[in-house]
Amino acid sequence: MKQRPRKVILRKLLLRRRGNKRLWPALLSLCIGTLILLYAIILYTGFRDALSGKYDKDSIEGTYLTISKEIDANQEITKQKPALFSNTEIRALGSIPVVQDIGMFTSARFPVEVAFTGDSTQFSTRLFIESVPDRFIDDKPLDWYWQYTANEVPVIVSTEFLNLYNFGYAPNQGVPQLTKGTIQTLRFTLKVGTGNDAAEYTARVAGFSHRISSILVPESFIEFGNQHYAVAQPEQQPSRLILKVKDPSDELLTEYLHEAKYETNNELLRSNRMRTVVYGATLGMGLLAIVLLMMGLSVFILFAELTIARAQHNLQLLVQLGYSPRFLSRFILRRYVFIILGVMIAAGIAAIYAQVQTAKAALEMDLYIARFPGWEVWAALAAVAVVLLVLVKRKIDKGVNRT
Amino acid sequence: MRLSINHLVPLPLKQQHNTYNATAWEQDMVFNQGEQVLVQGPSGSGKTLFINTLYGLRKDFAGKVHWSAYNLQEITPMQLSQLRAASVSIVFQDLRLFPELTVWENIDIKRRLTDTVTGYDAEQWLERLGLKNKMDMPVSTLSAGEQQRVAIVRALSQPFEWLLLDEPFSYLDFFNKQKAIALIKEVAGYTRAGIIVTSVAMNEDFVYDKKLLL
Repeated sequence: MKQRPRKVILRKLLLRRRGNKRLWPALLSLCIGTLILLYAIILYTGFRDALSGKYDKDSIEGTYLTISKEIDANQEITKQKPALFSNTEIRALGSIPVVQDIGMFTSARFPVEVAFTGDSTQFSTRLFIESVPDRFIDDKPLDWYWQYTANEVPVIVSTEFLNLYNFGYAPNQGVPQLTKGTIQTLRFTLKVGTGNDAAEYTARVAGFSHRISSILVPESFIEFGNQHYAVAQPEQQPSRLILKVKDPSDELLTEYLHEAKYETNNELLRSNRMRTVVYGATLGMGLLAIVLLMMGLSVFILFAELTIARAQHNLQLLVQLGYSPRFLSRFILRRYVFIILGVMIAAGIAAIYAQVQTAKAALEMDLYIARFPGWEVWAALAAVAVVLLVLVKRKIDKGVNRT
Repeated sequence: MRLSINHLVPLPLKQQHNTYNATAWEQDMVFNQGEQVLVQGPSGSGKTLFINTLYGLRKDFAGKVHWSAYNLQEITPMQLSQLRAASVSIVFQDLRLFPELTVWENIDIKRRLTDTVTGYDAEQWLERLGLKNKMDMPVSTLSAGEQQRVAIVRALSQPFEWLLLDEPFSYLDFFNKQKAIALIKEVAGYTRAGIIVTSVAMNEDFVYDKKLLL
């Protein structure tokens, strides 16, 4: 005599395996539908986070905007005072909801000259240097500080300048192109001030910035220089500002900048266009996912109904023998819980993989998004699972209570 | 547990009511625990209807049926299943076995409901009714008489205060019937359970306290 656990006998009576082939397409459709839905959310949240600068390493520069005032022809000719931002204008900018932070460019009010003497090359040029608050610097070097006793000054150069040199100046002049690493090993002479107040420092390129198109030195150096080497100029208002914004394509912000005749880097438009494309694509994906999910769900529910219909006679007899409808409902539901959990786990694992791959691909385009799915993805997964369970449970209860 | 019926008339029989001289319908009756009752009537007289109504399978009746304080027309599915599992057992006239299960699985699915009857006891009962060597056979391969004996053992494989038997020996020969009666008396005797038996003919299979005519 074969002793079998009761659940094995009940399974034999209620969950016959015949006809299970119909289940696989439904499960596949559910899994793919869920995965596409999750992927749409991954893309949406990833792009949204990149725009809002959640990971603070974005390179779209959509979240950090450098703005300046438009210079009109009249101003150019009459040589009026430069277009500077007043405190009122800065406060007004700060009151725009999407503006999260404002940083002022502080320019050196003293003459700066940089010189380089190599084995075969020598050059010397006047240039400008600026500083911004440290929190606005992308890829801030570890040794980004300067004390007034130090002779060496770290400098951050815009990657645009390096590109101009490597792809413009060097081929044109027949001089070698330079890598970031090579440049960082070089030492330059930085002459500041004039006459008796002049001083010399050693400058080295400590890093490169995608975000800020300038030559930056630590704020402490500019402050020190403006105090000690400034030619007679009063304290000036900034001519450029760097804004950290939640969403650079925000209508209120774009309108304000346009009306106030402020100029900004055109990356804003790029991210805005990208946003439209990505949001449109994710919306399309989401709709496709919902259609697929509905199809999978219909077939899945149909399968559950069919299983119950096939077991209807046995269910009725089990109830007549003393089994409670609730117990039988739960017994059947348990099987679907395992199936639904299996599908959700498979979709969850695929979503993690998709997120990792997306993060990698985005990194290659200098876009930083999270490497692990956020709460929105898990919430969507849980919501799909709950909806599935509730619908299946209702069908089972209805079928069992028919006994 | 006391079973009682008050002015019970199944709706399918209501229009024919006047033509009946039955002693069961439209009466107030109480069956006390331990009583043995015979419900006798010719084929088609409503014996199965009476048993099914008493067991709570049908609700299309006028009047009332009570299992102790439980009114069968108001009882919840949960309460009914608990009482069926622990207090009232039945042998259906049409047996209602699971044809896809073996003999033992048919017994076990009932026995495991409460786990009060041991596997050893159930096996002994099958042996007494001559089914020991058929325990692993699908019940669909058995003869009607063998299936009826399986249904009897299944009904005994739970605790009960009442055993409803709807023409339980109709397929059995004399010797097998005697063995089945002896087994039922013995098991029902352990708990002084009441028995209600339907039959087409008068009989003295049990020592009846009441006899109802349909």
